[in-house]
Amino acid sequence: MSQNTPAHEEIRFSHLTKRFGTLTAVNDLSFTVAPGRVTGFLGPNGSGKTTTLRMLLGLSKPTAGTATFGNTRYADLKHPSRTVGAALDASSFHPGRTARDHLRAYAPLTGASDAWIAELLALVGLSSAATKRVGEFSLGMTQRLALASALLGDPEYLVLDEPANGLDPQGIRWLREFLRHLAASGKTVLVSSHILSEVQQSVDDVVIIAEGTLRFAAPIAELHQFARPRVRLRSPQVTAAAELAARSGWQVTQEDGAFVIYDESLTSVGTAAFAAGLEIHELADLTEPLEESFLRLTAPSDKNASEADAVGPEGTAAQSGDPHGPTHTTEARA
Amino acid sequence: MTALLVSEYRKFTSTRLWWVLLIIMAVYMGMTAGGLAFSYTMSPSQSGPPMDPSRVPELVYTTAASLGYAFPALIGVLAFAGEFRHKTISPTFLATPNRTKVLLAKMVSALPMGFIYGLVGTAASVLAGAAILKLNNLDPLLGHGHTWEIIARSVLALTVWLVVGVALGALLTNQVAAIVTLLVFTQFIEPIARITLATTSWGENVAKFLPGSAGDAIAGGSLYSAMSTGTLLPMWGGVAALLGYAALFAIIGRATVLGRDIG
Repeated sequence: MSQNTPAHEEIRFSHLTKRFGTLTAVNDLSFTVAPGRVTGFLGPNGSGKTTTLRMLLGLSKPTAGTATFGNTRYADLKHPSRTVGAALDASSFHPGRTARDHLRAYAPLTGASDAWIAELLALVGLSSAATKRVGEFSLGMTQRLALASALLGDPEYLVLDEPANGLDPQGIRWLREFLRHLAASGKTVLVSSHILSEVQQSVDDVVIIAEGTLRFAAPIAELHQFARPRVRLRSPQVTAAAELAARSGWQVTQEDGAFVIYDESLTSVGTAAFAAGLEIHELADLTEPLEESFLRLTAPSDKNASEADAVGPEGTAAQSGDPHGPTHTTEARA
Repeated sequence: MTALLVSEYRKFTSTRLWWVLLIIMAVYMGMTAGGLAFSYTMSPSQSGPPMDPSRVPELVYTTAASLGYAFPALIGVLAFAGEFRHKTISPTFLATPNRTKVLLAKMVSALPMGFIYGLVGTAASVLAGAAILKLNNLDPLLGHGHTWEIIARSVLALTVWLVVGVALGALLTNQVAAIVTLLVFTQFIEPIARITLATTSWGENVAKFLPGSAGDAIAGGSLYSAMSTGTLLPMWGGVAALLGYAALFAIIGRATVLGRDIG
């Protein structure tokens, strides 16, 4: 797809499916992760994010479909840990091993020297804890060590599963800056989270899944656009207000004795109403916050099936194009 | 493969367990060998079967191989079970997606650790045993080539036991289940089975292929074979039998547990 990619290719998920008995954890999931960008992989807990990432990394076998780096499966990569760095579980450490010894145990396979390990520990702020046993670490410290482990082989791709889990607000801020730092160095980052706001400021693209199916995939800016601006205007001069709406070419609906105006900002409606000398009893911005869009997109399908199809995240994402180059495909659900 | 071996070796040596268990083994084996030497020299005719005094030293010096093999086996078992317990199996399989390679690397990298266990366990038995024998005016036979052959074979037996432990861990990845199985089998089931089976001639043929008997065969005799009249395999037969168990555990483990999703 992307011909002029930098040093490496995109990550491709194609019809990826995982069933555990009768439970379908991941269902016909297809999307791509553009190289050199930070992609947020979002969805509620239990939506299939971890299962998807584990299939990408060859730890679980897909029931159907593929997940590849370019066209290469993880297990077929020539130097897996120098190509892909992964932090899957903040608790995947032997509690009796020191931070440095943990990194040294995996270093031979990545070609990492002791000097590089020291550099990594400094990068994640664990220099002073290098010779401490991981059993004494706080959750935030193990998350940092997990990031250092992922970077051992100085990989082109980084796959991080819920790296913000258990971090305090300072830790989350640190993580944001860290992700931007990684992106600036040209790495392709796929970072999962169940909370949009944790990664919202540090991702270029978002992929949202729920119940194992794709709900939305596009640059983060389009998630903003997806939240359609709405302004509520309440006035005792109903006729005058209706005339103003018609004159201004607003798209309006009436609910509960008030007008709801679409695709206009609070400022433009307020200015027009003032100019028309309209008496205003209420003027409110109903535009949903980003988190609301996220929650609506990830709501259980029995509740939002008709709504989601009507609003069509697929349409929004696919038609609006991508100003940044790499193509984001959103497969329509069958 | 070298990188993988170094990686696996560093995993063995970077936690405290290996040297803690090694010290316990040394103390336990030293005391047991000393006790055995004492009982053989004090009342050879009353407490046990009649004993040729020239065979006493070798029985004492193989104490670690015949009674202490659970220690290296335990360290071996934890190579996989510990990784599953602490979920480090994920980064391990990420670094080396070929799981057969990981299994082989763990078994091979267990050799130096096995050698250390063999050396320390045997040395503790020999030092304590020889001292007690000497105190009781029995020749510890440390000038004899045969004695040193037995000592070297004891080190070899314990080394192989650690490799068997690694393979068993590939099959029993639940740490608690692995430890309990290992201890119950080696300390309880097998000793009873060996003594019981040795009472019949067909049973004797079965008993010599039990892992404990195979280990004794490598070391060249032991307490059990002195107590009962059980026969042992030749040394290389013992090595082959014990490595056969390791291969069996490894193959079954690879085909089942290690083939599954890691999650």
